[in-house]
Amino acid sequence: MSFIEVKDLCKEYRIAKSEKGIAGAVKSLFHREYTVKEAVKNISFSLEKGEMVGYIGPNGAGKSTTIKMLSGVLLPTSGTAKVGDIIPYENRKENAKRIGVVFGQRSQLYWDLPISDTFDLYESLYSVPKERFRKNCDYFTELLDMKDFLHQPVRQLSLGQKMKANIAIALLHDPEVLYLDEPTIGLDVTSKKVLRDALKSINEEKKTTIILTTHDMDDIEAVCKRLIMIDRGQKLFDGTLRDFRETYNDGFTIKLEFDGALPPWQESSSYELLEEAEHHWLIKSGAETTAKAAMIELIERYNPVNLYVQEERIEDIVRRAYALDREAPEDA
Amino acid sequence: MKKYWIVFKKSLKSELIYRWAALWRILGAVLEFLIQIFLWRALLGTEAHNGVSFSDMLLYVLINSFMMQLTHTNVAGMIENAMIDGTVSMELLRPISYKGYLLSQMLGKNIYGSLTATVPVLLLSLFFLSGAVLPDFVHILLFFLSAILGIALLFEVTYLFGLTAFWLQRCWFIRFYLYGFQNIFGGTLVPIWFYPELLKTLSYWLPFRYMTFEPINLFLMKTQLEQAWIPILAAFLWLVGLSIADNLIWRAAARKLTVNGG
Repeated sequence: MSFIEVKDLCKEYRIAKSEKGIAGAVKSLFHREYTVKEAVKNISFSLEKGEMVGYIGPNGAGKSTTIKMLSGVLLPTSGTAKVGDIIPYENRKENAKRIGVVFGQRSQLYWDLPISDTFDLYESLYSVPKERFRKNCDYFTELLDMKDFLHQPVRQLSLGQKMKANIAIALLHDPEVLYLDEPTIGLDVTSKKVLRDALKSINEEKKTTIILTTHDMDDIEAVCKRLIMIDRGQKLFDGTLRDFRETYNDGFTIKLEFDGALPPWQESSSYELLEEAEHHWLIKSGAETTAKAAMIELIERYNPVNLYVQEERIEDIVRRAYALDREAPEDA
Repeated sequence: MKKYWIVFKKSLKSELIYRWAALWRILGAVLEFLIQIFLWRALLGTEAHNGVSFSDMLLYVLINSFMMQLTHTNVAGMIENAMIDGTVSMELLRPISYKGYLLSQMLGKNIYGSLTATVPVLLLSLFFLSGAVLPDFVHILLFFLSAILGIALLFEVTYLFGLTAFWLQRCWFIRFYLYGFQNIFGGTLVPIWFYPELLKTLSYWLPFRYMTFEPINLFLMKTQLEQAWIPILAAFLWLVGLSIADNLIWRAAARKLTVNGG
């Protein structure tokens, strides 16, 4: 029995069709047509304690809906989810005590008060023992570098500062699971790095199970070993980052640089010319040849001054995986 | 219990930030009080009508406005706002009952406003109060009991109707209905003392008169001790009935919930 167990989870929404123009709006007052949108379709996965998983998918794929069902806010249409021994949506309050949630576009902080006030609130809400609360406060203030703005009203803080505070309060009660829904949205490079490092240390030191949804593949590469990809409510991939690369691998790119004019391009089935500039080529090589073989062959054929091999970035792989899914018929 | 206390405290503290808003509220409250007082002075003169004297009216206006202020930011509006922008999902993430959270939040938000609005008015009313008889100790105790029940009842009714926002998304109109019912059947504008028999009878069968009118009756000792149990029991029964109803509706609402915006 795994720690988090999700089985055939489905969530449907009824959406009222709105028609064009004022006339349409008036008409819809009397008669309204509904369409059913399946936000989450038959998703199953299981997670062990202490795992750190990236949950990715394009906008509207059903990521947040899944997280909301796991945190007990939304009730699934069918299927089950279990966190520990608790069914979250049936036992919302019990479940809430052992999870921490951060929604990147929402804040749990008191708008008019300093962060320390929200800290107090959470101390009481979760009945955190005083000693441990003190220790956690210090730990997260240090880890997320929050000392400077702990006593400023929240409305005067920057987005990054608020995000750090939201992550800290989600963790003050030492939850067993942490759900992060786009925690790096709108953050600058430095803040993102601080956050990723913090997440790694939290996972290592406190053995917190973390589910992270994001659109920033660098987050995933930096933090997660495992990846679950969904699109249009369905699961497309579940496995390690390495397997993900192999499954969707489509070769690598090679950049050849030349001193003078470019030599004539020889058409070949194993290479594709992606880009031609004044002094360089960008060449795509298929997955069937190794980088070594391709390098030797290209050097012999064209004699470049410099040669760079670049592995395909996760981001590009993901983009292709989404595209592949979109090409397939909806209910394949 | 400690959880709810801290929600109350933090909500009060958030309110204290805006000092100018409080000042304007005081001004508004004083004006409203004066209007009502002069109106009743003109209507009643110096004699008692139907056994109601001017100083009775004064106390009536005072207590009524304090209790109404205490539920001024009403829960229905709070639920509606949380539904519109989706913050309801954040509130549900906390290990605390939603109803209890709303109640503490509402009281914290309003208590400051009620006090700032009432204390100046109370001082002002000392000029008008002459020959008023203060209630005896037992009546005061009963008044407090009945006032607490009244506020709970006010909260309960607004909460119950506010929950419809889970289906309708919007429920601002409910505020107007409630306000209207309170005015008519609760006697918050014109006391039920002056009502025709039919309306008076009708008001006994609805929860609204037990919110502010009955507590005031106790304070003014217009309800005899032997009869005091009637409005208190009625308020209590309404409270129990409405709690059961809102519990059922809450369960259906949680099932129905959709969260707006991502």
